[in-house]
Amino acid sequence: MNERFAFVEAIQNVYVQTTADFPVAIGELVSSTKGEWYGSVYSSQGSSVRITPLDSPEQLKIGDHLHFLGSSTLPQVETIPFGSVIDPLGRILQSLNISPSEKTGTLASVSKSFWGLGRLEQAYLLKQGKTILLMGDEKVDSARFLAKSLERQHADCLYVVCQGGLRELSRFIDAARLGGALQRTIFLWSPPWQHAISGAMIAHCLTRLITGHQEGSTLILFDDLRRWLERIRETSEESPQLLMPHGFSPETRGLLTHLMELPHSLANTSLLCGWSRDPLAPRLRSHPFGPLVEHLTDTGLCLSGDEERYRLTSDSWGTPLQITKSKEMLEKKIGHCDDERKVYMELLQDLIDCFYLEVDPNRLDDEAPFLWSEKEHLNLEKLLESSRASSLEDITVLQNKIKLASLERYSKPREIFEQWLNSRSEVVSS
Amino acid sequence: MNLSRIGSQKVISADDTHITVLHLPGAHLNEIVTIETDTGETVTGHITSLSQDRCEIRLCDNHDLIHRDHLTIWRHHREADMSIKPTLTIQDSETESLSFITGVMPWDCLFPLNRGHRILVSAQRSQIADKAGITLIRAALRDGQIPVCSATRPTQKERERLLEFWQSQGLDEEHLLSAHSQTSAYSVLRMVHESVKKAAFLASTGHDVCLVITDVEAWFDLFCEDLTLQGRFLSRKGMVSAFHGELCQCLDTLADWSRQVTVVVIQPWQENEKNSLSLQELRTYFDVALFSLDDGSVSLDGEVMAPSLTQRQKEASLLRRQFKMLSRQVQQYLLEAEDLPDDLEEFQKNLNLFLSHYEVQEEVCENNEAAWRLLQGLHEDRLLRIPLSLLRDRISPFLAE
Repeated sequence: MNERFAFVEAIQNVYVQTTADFPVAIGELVSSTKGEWYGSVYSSQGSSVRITPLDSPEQLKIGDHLHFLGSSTLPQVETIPFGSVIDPLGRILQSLNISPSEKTGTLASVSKSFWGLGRLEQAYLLKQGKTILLMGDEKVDSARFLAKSLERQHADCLYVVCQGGLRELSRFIDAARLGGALQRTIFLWSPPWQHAISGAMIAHCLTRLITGHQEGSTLILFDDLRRWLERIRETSEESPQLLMPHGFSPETRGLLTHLMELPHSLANTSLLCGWSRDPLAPRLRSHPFGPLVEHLTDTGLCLSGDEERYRLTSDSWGTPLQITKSKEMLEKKIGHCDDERKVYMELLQDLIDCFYLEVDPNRLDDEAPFLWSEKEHLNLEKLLESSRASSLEDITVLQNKIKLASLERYSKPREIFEQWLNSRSEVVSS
Repeated sequence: MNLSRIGSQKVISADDTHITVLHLPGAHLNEIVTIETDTGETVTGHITSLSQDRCEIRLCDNHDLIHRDHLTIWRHHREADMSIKPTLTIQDSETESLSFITGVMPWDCLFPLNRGHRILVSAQRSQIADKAGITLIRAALRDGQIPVCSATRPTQKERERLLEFWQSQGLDEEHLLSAHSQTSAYSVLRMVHESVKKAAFLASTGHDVCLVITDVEAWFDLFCEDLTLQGRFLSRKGMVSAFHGELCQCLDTLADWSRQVTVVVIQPWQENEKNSLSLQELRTYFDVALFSLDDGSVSLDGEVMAPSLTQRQKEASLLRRQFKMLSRQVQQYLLEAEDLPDDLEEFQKNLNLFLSHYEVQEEVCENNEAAWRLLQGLHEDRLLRIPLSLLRDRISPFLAE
């Protein structure tokens, strides 16, 4: 076997330099002899080779041996067992203990779905094998929603990408424990204090992991996409690559596309990404890669809320379901009516949001989602077209009734609302 | 203790911020070295690049005059290593932490804290030292926590006031770390790390600790300066991204004692200041974000992001929702220049008074009673955000009075 070794000649934070008398491939992995340090080749000029450190370069000294591995990922990635925390290179950081009770979880009674997004699933058509983006305003912490989703989903294999610190990782692990999903989850952790370049390996690592474990439906929870892009920007700025005017390297587009298209390139794979909003550029489209992200995503769920409960905003996209169509109709009418009627319609909108769409990140949805059907949509349409059956007093009486039924649980007040809607539409018809 | 010292005198170049030296065997990147002048003065250095036999060293401390021919570079720094590294510790979510009753009424009622919470306090620049910092240290003291404070860029006046407060309370002066305006960026970052280590040490000996870092913006600025001196030239966004790592590393170093160490980070803000905005995204690493308004009162716009909430915290979130809804109604009346109904007027007056109670009260508020009292004059029809059963249960004791 032809051994491919070289010596460390120069070390900087950004690169390690060596001389290799054998052919090397750009992107191939290099390790120290004991395997505790890894880097990736990024340039080769004659025999001079520069390597980007994937681990902290403090571990190296001038003259240390480097082993060129000839591959872009570590060989054992496919065999990683579920219930492990790994780094983006596929090294196991910790194998989690799973007690027998944790195999079922303590949330057995909660209604579960593939995406585990509770009430949000009523707004847009969310099919398996697609890509969904979950974003909010600066107050919405997408990690909280993804953790709740982890508690309530029933995919066969789960891959959770966490780019937060220990607390964020613990939150995901807790959610998987509660939902009984620990024995089918692998946590891919890239904490912010680690070398940012390792984040660029995430998409490659996911591809290898999923290919090796392909059994049934697979869901990737990715938290979060914008942080990931920012970390790629950070590394690009330090590398000698040419940068685009917006500060990202041209390579970023390829990495982003690779990740976002995993559901298309791998069978039965779905992707749910969080997107933390940039306070300086709050709209997705104002981000340099925002339009591309939107293009590569099947559904975008944009949340906002100033009362600590969140509602979908009109920036969301995807195939709308009946309730979203009804809401859009209501919003359109609110823009074209007199003041008194506007108040009436706003109260109505508030009730619809409250019963069908509003989400609380601490309690995504404890009840089975209720489907707003074509019938309800038609009843609402009738109600909005007629001023006969829709007075402000009328809706205030309804509000009081709902209040009496208590807002703690939604089923009873929602029933009252539905009865009211039906009875009003009957009045209109007659 | 390392008795053998490895050094070199072969300095081949020196400038204001860097020196280059030959023959420093075994040196590694980012190693801290000691630079000794012929007069015996020592300056701390930091290896930023290694190439064959050459070491490039960044000068970390401020210095007066150094002559390149009279320098000795010693490997191994004289002081203890201040680098911090979190260990992978999966926290046990089963054990609940204790409440942190601050004695500041609006916080206790609307944003109940727990020991071990990570708290971000956004306060107007002029109020930082006086209000937020000292108020929280005083609150921690009454709660039986040992305060450790790291002030990254205090003015002369603020530093004196902080020291005066520290002495008046009879606190250990070793737990107050304060930088001067001339202190080098490296030394300030080192000081923050030192405060984290002190907090970790106290917690490991069984004490409850409150670590206060003021302020995050100065910390960020000095972090950028330090990064640049290391030869890492990043855009502001790149710097913010790198600072995520620095902040998270400090917080996660304390993860082993997450129920004992309460961390308070103070963020100054100024109206229309874009720089502060880009640091807003750091909120994701905290459990609670508290804001103070221009007049120093507590804002309702704070957030609680802790993964699990106690019953008291859930009630507080309902109260905040209700207060925000009512305040919006009041604003609506004012915008439309309509007469404010008496009950709403009374409520808004009481709410403003309540939120301005920023001082630590002698009377400890262990439930949300003071906040519930604000709702007693209002008709139930206005209180749509609170379940009726809960509302009646909480308000009936006052009505009976």
